[in-house]
Amino acid sequence: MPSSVVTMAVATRTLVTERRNAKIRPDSIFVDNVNGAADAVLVFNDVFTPSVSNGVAVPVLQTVPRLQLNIGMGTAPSTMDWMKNISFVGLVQVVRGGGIDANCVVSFIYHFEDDPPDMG
Amino acid sequence: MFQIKAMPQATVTPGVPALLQPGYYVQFSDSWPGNLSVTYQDKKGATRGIFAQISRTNQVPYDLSYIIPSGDFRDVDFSNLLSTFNENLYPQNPITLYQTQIGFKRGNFLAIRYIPAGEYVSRLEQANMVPNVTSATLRYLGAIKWQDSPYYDKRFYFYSVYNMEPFILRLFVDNGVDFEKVVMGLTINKCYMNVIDPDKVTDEMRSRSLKIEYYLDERW
Repeated sequence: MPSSVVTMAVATRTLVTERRNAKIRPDSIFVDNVNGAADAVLVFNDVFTPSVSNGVAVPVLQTVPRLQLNIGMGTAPSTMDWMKNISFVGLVQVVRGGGIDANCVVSFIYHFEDDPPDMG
Repeated sequence: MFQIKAMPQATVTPGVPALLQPGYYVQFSDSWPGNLSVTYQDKKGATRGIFAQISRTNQVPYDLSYIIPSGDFRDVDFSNLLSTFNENLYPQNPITLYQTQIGFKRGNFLAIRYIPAGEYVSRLEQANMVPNVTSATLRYLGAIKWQDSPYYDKRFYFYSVYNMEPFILRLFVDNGVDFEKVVMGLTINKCYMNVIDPDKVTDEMRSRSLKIEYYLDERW
């Protein structure tokens, strides 16, 4: 299962690039803010340009927030089971509010939605 | 021309191939129009569908995907006729048959079939009972959902030949999401046909053949 680890030394980081023939489903997110200098608000965005459709002849880049986490300074929370119900149709991006912090580390574990026997 | 295969009531071992294989027979119905290469004129001048044996096949997988906003749709044109949304998925050779399997990854969308553009494949007999994506109820009439033909168990089949009218699949994203990524998995089974002289076709060959109807036979 692939994963992506980034530090929030810059305010906006890309976690996963888009794969055209699959949506991205996160399995868990782990945020290490133990040595962070401040509380962090992390927003996970879905970034994509839609296809040309009947109603939209010239699509433009969309940034849709899918999840927001408020992370206390000195903590390292993780999310697990409920994450699998969220999907990203495009690129996964994380944005840190409240200033950059190289000691705030985001680990993002995910899979592409194309596992065969998963009929739901 | 179209098939949505139901779940089997029983299974057989060894399994039967889902796609046409070399040696298989196909028979085009007599409703196919005379301007297409899968017909011939009989001795009385009537248009008849050809009978053929598949001599070669090649399975070509292909995925198509579109991100569409809620309440909007995209008309995917399978033909080779140049248009805004055509995908060039028809044969170019007059004696090639494309057997196309179509499956979908999960998502909040409906797929409605038209051939040619604007002409529904599925409708009921009462005049108003036609697919309509602007209606909260009629959008579900005749619509295929991803569960009807999942990506890894494709049950929706479509047959195309050279110069046939465009088949349009309207992919409509239903309410409840902001955007949906519609992923279609295709397996295009390229079948090279050897036409058999109608006088040499036996009843046994006919009984073993796959009969391919013209869409007008199915849209009654």
